Amino acid sequence: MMNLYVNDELVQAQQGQTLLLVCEQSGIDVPTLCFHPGLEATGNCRLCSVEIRRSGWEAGATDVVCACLFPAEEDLEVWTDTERVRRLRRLIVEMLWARDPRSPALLALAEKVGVNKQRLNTYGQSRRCILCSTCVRVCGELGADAISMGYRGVDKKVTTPFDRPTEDCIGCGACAHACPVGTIYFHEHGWERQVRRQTFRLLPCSGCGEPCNTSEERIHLSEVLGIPMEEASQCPTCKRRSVGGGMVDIQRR
Amino acid sequence: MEKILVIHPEKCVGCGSCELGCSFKQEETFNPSKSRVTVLRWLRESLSVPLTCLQCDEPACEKVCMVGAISKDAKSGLVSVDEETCVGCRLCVSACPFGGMNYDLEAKRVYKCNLCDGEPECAELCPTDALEFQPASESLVNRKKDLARRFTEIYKELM
Repeated sequence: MMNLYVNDELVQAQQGQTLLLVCEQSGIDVPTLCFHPGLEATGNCRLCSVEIRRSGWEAGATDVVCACLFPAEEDLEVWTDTERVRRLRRLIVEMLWARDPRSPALLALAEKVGVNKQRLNTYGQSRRCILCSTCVRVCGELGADAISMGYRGVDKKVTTPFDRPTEDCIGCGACAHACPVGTIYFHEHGWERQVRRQTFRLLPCSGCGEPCNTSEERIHLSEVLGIPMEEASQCPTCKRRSVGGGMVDIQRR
Repeated sequence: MEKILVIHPEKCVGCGSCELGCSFKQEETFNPSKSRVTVLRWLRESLSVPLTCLQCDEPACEKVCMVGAISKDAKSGLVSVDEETCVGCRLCVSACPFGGMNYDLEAKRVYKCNLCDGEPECAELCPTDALEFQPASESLVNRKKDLARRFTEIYKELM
């Protein structure tokens, strides 16, 4: 355990804990978009920037760091809402907002940090994606690794190899679920599921014949995760029915 | 382990009170399809079984969760999903052999029985005590394990 100061209040932190987690524990709100508790932090969106002062620095000297990456230190002083931080956050939000002017998440964020006018313009080149890489990290963590960052500079985007539909995508939709600004398309209706620009045909449940999951998901579950195929190809309702049937059988005997 | 939810299929009359109580407590709607507990009915045999998450010792859902959103609490035995950490890949839904994990396509999230944080509404409302929330005594755990063993035998025959 170590002691540090967040907004001039003494808080305790564990070795290796990041400033973002310390702030969260003490109930201090630090805005963030790309941070996800299940994934490794990358500091891509820079929204969680906070002002710090290490012990031993000369009087008045401070620095701005990314709270999701910076580990807690003994006697560190952290401020989450100084004028310097607020100005920086406003600029970051303005730049992110320009990428996707219609995103409800970004609109809410802009309101929260006090940005009410769109100053920056992408001249019709709105990209919708803020390049935070959450989807890429999610996909990698799941073991599918279907998407990654491609191209450079202003052309940088999340993409599949050669911009083509990829066999690696299992169609689970985790990328769309985790996207903080709701950019990734996910739609499921009837026998079809659309994830990004790929369309998957759902396979029927082996019990009731209703649309269940994709063949790629079944293969991923059985080959990578070791779940028996007959379990991976049934819907929860049918599985419950067969378990219940077993219980009834016990009673009959 | 403090208390466990015990299912007595022989006592169930199939009234569905548990389903309605569950969906109302969890989703604030009387809708059995949103309930965590399901009553399975075999009308010809006049048998019914209330079934919910069995809070496995080694949960398959926990095993397939790559981001560590699913965990089993050592003290209460509860298998729970941390919604903040969940990335919505739904692999757990397909992985659970008992159908205890579900996905809400509208709310875009997985859901399972959370034992109502220690006061299960289903057990509270069950008129015939087919669902009971009891202290996990040794005899009760043994009885449960015996049932599971017999179940495995039958299941093997069916396969």
